[in-house]
Amino acid sequence: MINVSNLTKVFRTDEVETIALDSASFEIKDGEFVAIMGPSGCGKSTLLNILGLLDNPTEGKYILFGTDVSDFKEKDRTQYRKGNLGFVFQSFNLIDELNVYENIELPLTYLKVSASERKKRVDEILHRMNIAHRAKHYPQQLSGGQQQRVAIARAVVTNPKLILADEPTGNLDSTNGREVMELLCELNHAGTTIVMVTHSPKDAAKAQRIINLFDGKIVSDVKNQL
Amino acid sequence: MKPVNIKTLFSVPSLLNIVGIAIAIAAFYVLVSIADFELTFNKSTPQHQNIYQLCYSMEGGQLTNSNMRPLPEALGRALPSVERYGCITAGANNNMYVKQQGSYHQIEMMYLQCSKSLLDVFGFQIVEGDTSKLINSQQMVMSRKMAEKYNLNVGDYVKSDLQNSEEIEIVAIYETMETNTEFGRIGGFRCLGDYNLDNPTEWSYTYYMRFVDGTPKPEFDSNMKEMLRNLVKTFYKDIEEVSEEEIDNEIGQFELEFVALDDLHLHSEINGYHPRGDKSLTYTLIILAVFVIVIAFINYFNFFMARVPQRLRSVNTRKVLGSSRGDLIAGIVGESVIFTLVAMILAAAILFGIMPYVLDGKVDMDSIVYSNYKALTITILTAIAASILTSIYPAIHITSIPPAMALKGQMTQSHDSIIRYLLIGLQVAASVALIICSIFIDRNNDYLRNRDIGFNTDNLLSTWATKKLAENRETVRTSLLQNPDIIDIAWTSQDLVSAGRMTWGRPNLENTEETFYYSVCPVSWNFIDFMGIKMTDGRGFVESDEQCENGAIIFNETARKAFKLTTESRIQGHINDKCVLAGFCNDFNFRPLQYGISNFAFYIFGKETWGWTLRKLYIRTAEGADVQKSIDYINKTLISIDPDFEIQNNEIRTYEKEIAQQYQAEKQVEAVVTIFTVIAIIISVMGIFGIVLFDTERRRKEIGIRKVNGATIAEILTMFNRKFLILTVICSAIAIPLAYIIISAYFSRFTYHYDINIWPFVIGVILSMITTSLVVTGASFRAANENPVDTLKSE
Repeated sequence: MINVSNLTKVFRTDEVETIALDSASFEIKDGEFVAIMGPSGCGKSTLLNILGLLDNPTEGKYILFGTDVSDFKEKDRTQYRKGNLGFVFQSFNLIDELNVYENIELPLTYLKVSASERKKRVDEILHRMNIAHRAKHYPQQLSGGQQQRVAIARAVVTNPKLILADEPTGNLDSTNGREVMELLCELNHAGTTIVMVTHSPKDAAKAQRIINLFDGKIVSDVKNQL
Repeated sequence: MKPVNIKTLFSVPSLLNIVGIAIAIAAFYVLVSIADFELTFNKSTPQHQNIYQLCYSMEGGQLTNSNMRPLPEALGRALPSVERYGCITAGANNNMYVKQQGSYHQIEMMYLQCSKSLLDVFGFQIVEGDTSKLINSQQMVMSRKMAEKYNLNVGDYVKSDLQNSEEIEIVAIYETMETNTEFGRIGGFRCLGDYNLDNPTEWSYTYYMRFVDGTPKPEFDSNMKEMLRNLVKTFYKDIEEVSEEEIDNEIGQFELEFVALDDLHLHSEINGYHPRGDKSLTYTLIILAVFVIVIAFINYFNFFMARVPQRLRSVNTRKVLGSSRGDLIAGIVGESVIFTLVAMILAAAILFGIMPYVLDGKVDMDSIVYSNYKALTITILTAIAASILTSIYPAIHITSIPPAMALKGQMTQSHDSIIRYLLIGLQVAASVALIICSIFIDRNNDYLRNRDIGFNTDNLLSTWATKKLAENRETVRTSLLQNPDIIDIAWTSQDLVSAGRMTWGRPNLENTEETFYYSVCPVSWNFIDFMGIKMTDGRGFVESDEQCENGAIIFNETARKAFKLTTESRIQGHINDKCVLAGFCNDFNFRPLQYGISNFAFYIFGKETWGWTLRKLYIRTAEGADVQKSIDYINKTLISIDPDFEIQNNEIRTYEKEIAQQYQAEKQVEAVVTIFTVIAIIISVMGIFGIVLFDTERRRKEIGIRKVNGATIAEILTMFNRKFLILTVICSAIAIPLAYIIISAYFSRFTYHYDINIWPFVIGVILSMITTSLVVTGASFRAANENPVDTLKSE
């Protein structure tokens, strides 16, 4: 599914050049659950952004679903992202002005899915995530755990092949964090590939494989003993 | 509370607001100054409230101020409440020549002829010389401004006609009147003396009467009518044999009206000389001034409201630390006032630096704007009041939120947003209405210039000839026709299309109790044919008519129908006898299209010309002839016949230019309304731009989320555009009827005007939508293009 080789990302300002990612190479297969770990500033989120087609690498090759996407323009990246990738963020990133239902519906509208089909799929995911009773609520009216459930629902509503999660439990208490991880595991068991950035060894332990980064370099890539 | 955070002044939305308010303040000041100039016209004249102009009703309810001299003089003497009365000739002259270095040069000065007593009516302040020396047309008084401009003194001589040896002595110099007074633009007065004092047939004088202070507005009631009857009887008995019946008949047709000097300037119904203002333009400008300032302060209010969430934390932190609510409100309002003062400084720069170029001479900035301290005070007070009013609600609102809630950030903006969008809706509605009105005014001016008005306007040139040229018409004709590019020439006494015309009242010789009233245009015998005006009956003028005894006349069809005339009818001309009725011609628009077609006649004086010369020369050039070359040839030829034509410096102009002058006021309305409409739209656009900028800034995170979830840049831009385009469409529903009402009122001034049809409305709405879309796209483009990684990273 994912094949990266010598992936490098350099951030340049007038005075400073920062190498956020340095010649990273690895492969992720369909259905894998991979955790990316490392200290703050080691390049985890940069790698996740590149994998999620939110950013381009400065150098190196990135093959996603068999296509070389390394040099994709913004427009192509947006098109390729649609329906194929789902995102879950630490700070949930729900839209305050939209209610739960509308937040989940959002990616479907950009996929031009018909209204009746959208309703069917959103209702289904609301029940699956056990948040149907909150459909008309706004994000401010939900707890952190509930907001992250909504965010996950939004990420999976298009049935993406790959979910990218950036510290999904970082803003949650342990109970809610555990529930969110259980959800991600369920999705993985159902066949969705998951790449998750985390600081938490406990969360990483749920993954099948852990990639460790340090100063932009992959220092280890090990299979997890589940 | 620290009143202003200087940093906030330098953000793009802040700067947009300061610039918007500065433009609005500058525009408001100019508009209020113009309106004040018009509304206070004549108010600086001493005893202005007691001065009236003597007018009488004409057919169609229109008033004229052209009088004969004997009757008003008698009335002035007879009415005990009349303190002073005097007259001017009905028409300003600008032929004035001053001897400099041995030869005469024309000076730029408009002057009138007046009776000596007129100076008393208006309380002219004599600064030098003696007005008692004003006896006849060989003396004059001059304004100090003109005397200083041309270095003239009491005792100096000037000339009004180079071909006449008569010189005019300046016997006194008076203090220049304010520009916005009846004679503010008049440079001097030549004495009328006793000329035509006993002549009841010359109706060329405008009379002013000053009543004793405290006299109520004089009415032409039965008492005054009786007094007038006695005066006329006495008067006619002295002059000629007129029957009692004829006098009663004449009096029966008189409807005198005293028009107050205060109302005169904006009185559009008066036909004849007076410095005419435009009531609808004045009120339009006041409405525009209010529009501009309201639109700018709506932006300001929105700007304040948009900043509420940003300021909540700091305001409430101060509250927690002990600041009173009153102090906080005062601080926010104070900041708003300081903000406005900064805008005022910028407005001053705009007024002196940019506005004169924008208005490009359409408004006399020195005499109308810069010297108007009243308008300046109104502007400053309005701006400060508006800044307080627009900041007081946000100040109360922001300080009313419980600190615990505000500091936690548990605030929704839905209520504020609704107010903001409602206010933007008002701006958009006003802008759409203004755009539609501008399109209609532009189309109407085009219509006025190009409408078929019933005669041939192709390849037509005209000029005012000198007296010598007018007296040598055959020489002029022969000389000009030597150029193959010149096909024909013809003469008349005034512009063929003109608002003010000589009007005659002549008895029907078949029924003397009936009088025909009609406009008259003296012409040369070939004029009707030259202009391509079709005869409908009769023989038309022939060359020999110019030598006939009692004059020859051709009526238009309107007059023919109104007076039930045939070619056999007996009509009196300028001599008290039957003139030649040479026929009837098609109706044509002999006055600008504000006026309908009324009774009209072309006239040839014959042998007895009443001292009239036909000085307006029309020239028809060949199709395809080079206009400039033809003008050069005509100029050279006329100068060769009379060198004074060069000194007189009369322009040879195309018909398009001549007709454009007739619609100068309308053109002025269009120009001024367009300029300030554009300003209003710019301010409105700046407001929308600012609010979208603020909105996109606030919604950066949302944009990022949407992009992560598959939204393209186009979809983000569409999202922002959709809201404002829907707003524009909704506001158009308000703007269209509003524009319809405004434009219907404007067109009511015209008998003929551009049809009110759907297209200007459609174009106006489409233009507004395009503008809105461009502004919204421009303001949100940067945010829509941002990499979501950057916006989401900051969360």
